[in-house]
Amino acid sequence: MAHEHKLEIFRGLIKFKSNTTKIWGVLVFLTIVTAVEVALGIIRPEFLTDNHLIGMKLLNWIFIMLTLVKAYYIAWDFMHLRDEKSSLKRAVVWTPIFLVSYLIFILLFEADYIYNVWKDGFVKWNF
Amino acid sequence: MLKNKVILYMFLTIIGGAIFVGSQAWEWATFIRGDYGAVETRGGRILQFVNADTGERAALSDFAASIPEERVQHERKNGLWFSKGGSLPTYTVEEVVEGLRANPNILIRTEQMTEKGEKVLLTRTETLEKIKDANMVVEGANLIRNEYGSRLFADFFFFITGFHGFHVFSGVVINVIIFFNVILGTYERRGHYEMVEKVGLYWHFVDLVWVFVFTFFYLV
Repeated sequence: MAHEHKLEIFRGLIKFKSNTTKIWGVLVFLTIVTAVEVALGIIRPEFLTDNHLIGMKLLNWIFIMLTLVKAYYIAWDFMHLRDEKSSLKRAVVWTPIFLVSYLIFILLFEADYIYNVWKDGFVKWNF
Repeated sequence: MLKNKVILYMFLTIIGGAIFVGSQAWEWATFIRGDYGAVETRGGRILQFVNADTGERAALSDFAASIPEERVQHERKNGLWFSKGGSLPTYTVEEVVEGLRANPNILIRTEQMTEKGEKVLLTRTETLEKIKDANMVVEGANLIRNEYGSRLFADFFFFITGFHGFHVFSGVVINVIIFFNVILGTYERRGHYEMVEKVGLYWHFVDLVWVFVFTFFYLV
């Protein structure tokens, strides 16, 4: 393609020679991140599973953050969003962020309500 | 333009997609068939069996008694209005209860979690009391029942991985179409390979979805 590609990742820490090598580099990086996730999932270190932050295990926080990192590089490099205008990037990113936040809000509220019905309600469910 | 390289990488992508869908199919088949078997209570809770000596899960075939009786599959043609019964599990509830009473080293594990996130293991006395609630034998998992634990989890698991697997399948089909177009030289004549980019965009969208499915159904 005739267009210019942005070839820097990690805020300019690594600059690739061509768009093709950038794709391979990102693939290697995502493979490493996934390997770390799988290793953590197998080992499940106790200080990560026993400590909680805002009602969730630290391990799960790490999984979710690493997932968002992977999602960023898939969208930015594999789906070439890095080369797009910032207005398009914003439209693509903020729409799902809004919708997913709304979904998380609904799921957590609903789940919490159902949990309390089971916990304190008069209807027996565990029989 | 590097036609042969596009052919090679399209081919590798199709093989990768086929390996993914194949692995998923194997996983589904394994879960649907089931490994150990469990019983469900009238309240819809699952009761699993654990060998007290080893701490490992015990399969129904390890301890269930054999009670000779006539078991008939209810078929469409015998029904009042052409409805058929579910397929018969390997053992009846009576056989499981009988086998549990006869084997003092088998304990029940419930669906509930301890604070450490492990399933609650009952004592032998509690086990014999709890088995009275048994309503049906469950082998494998599907959208309604689940021998591995919470019914809702199996429901979500098959729903989400099924949806994603279907997207992968259609992605492979689209990739195959593009693969043949590349071989036939369609894009050489057109002067650009933009169709490969467009299909790649779809393929990586499915990839993006998998990153989340993997986290929430396999890691967390």
